[in-house]
Amino acid sequence: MWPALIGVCPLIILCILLAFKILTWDSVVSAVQRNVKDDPASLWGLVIAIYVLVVAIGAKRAAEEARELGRQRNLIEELESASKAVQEIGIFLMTDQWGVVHVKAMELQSSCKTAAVRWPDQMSVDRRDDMLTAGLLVASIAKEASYSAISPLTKGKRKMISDVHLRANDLISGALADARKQQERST
Amino acid sequence: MPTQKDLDLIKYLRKATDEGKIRWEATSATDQFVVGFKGKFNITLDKLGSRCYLKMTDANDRELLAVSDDVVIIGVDALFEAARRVALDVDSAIDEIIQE
Repeated sequence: MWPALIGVCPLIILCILLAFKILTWDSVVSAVQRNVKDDPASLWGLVIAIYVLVVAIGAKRAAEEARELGRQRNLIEELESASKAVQEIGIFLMTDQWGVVHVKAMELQSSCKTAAVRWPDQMSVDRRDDMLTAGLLVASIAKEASYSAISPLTKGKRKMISDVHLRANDLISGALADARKQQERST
Repeated sequence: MPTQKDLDLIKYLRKATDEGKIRWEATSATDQFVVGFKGKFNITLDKLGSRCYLKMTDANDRELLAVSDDVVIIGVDALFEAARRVALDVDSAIDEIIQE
């Protein structure tokens, strides 16, 4: 916006000067001709300045796109780490390592919250809701895992935890797939 | 004592649940259902004994609201039953039985 305004400003001033007859068209043409003939370096200076302006605008745009892509990649990395963590929890659930389940579930809960809160413009509201819900589901797994130290879990409770784990996995996978799709679209 | 706003929220949740707009999820705790809202709020429904509790938290787990039906009947019980119906797919289970 500003570079374009700066580029256009001299032309606007020239038009105003011509409109109010402070300058005539002939005097402008003769001044340009004199400049070209007597001082060609100033013309080259103008050309180089315009070229630098164009390059700077392009560089700024490229930097913005790179930053946007970086943000998307960060979200995908967070979701990939969440997806990996939920799979690991599955393995620890199968082998009854409740202490590890508890620790991993706490980590995953924090990861889900981060994904929902840190990139609000990268995910739809529904997906952010899914991540928040996944965080709550995983938190409930962490809670049950910590109770297992007090009394062993019943078969029914294990099945419940397993169902909740699968549902959390579903929600996280869905968010990851969406984020990847969005990244592919923007590259 | 719940405010009118709290009652409005419960009413809205009940209506949206009945219309199938809210996807409640059962957690691994018995009688607990959760859902995320607007990408920044969580609502949890719990049943402890015969009392139902509704809790609203933000994304950082700060409790914003906690109401229950212990003082006056404000509809948390009915909302809990509706949420359970959705989360555990009770209608499908009934359909399965009826169809035989």
